Amino acid sequence: MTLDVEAERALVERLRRRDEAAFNLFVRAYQAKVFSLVQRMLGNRAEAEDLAQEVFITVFRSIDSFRGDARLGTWLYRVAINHCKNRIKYLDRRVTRGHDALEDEGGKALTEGGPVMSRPDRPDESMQGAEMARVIERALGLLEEEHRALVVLRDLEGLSYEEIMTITGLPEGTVKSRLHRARAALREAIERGLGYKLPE
Amino acid sequence: MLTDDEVRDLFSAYHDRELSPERTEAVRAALDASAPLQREYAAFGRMLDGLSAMAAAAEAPLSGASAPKAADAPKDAPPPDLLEGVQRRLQKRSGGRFYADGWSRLAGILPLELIATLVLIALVIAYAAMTMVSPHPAPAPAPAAPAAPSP
Repeated sequence: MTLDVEAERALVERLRRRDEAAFNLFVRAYQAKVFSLVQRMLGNRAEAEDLAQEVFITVFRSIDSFRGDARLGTWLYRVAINHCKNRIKYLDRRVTRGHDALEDEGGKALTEGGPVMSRPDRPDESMQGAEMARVIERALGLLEEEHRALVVLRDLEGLSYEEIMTITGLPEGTVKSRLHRARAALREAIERGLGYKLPE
Repeated sequence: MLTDDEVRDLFSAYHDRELSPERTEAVRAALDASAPLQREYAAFGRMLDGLSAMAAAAEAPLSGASAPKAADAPKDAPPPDLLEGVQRRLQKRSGGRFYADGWSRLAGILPLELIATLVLIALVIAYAAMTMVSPHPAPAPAPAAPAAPSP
C-alpha cells in the first residue's frame, strides 16, 4: 500500500497521538515490506519475525523523531536497516549467524569456502530459477552487513539511489561505489559457493 | 580512455543507467573494444538478473486453481500474527498503557469496514428489539361492566 502525501501526513499525526487504530493500519500497510527486508537481511525466518516486531515497536515509540523530510516508508526502511545491522552484529558476537540458514542446506561448505554443490556438468543450466535464488541467498548471508544492506535495498527491494541515500545517510558517490563493491563481493561469494565462475 | 579497472568500477552505475552521457559512452566504447571486458560485464549482468528474478519470484502472486495453503505462501510473507505480536509487546512494555483492551486489538485484525458493519447490524437489532418489546406489558382490557339490572 502506498499512501499519498496528504493521507500519509494524516496518518503520521494520528501515530504521534499514539492512536492505536492508526498504528494497526500502519502495521498492516507496511508489514510485508518490513518483513521482506528483514528476512532478506537476516536470512533467518525466526529472527526476522522477532525483529520485524521490534521495528514497528521502535516506530510506535519514536514517531516523534520523524521530521517528514522523507517519505514515511523510507524512514521506516531506515529504522529497519539499523535494527538489522545491530541484530547481525549481535548474532555475529554470539557466533550463531547463518547457522540456521546455511548449515541446514549444506551451507557449511560455503562458509568454509568450499563448493556447496558438486560441479555440475552444465553450469549454464545450473543457474536457473530456484537454484539461482538459493545460491544468491546463501551468498548474501556471507556479505558484511553494509554490503548486504545495499544489495538488498537496490537489487531486491528495488529502491532508487536517492531513497538509498536517505536510508543509509551516505552521499551519492559513496552509495554507487559501495554498491559496486557489494555486488562484486556477492559475485565472488556466489562463485566460491558454486565452485566455478558465473557463466558469461 | 578508461582503463579496464576503471570500467569494472563503473559496471554497477552503467547497468543502473546512473552515469552521465559522456561516461556512458566511454564505458560502451571500452566494452566494444575489449571482448574479455564484455564477457565480464555479461556475467555481472547475469548475476543482477538473478537478483531481479529472485525479487520478482518473492512478490509473484500465488497461482493455481486450488486454494493457497500456508505452506505455499512465499517464504518472505510476513507471519499472520505479526500485528498481534507487536500489540502484545507494546501492551507489556507500556505496563498496560497501550492495547489494554480487546477492542483496540481487534481493530487492527478485522477490517474497519467489517467492524462498522457489525456495529451497525447490532444497533439495528437493538433498536428493533426495543421498539417491538415494551418493558411494561400492555394493560389487560378492562372487563366489561356488569349489565345494569333491569328495572
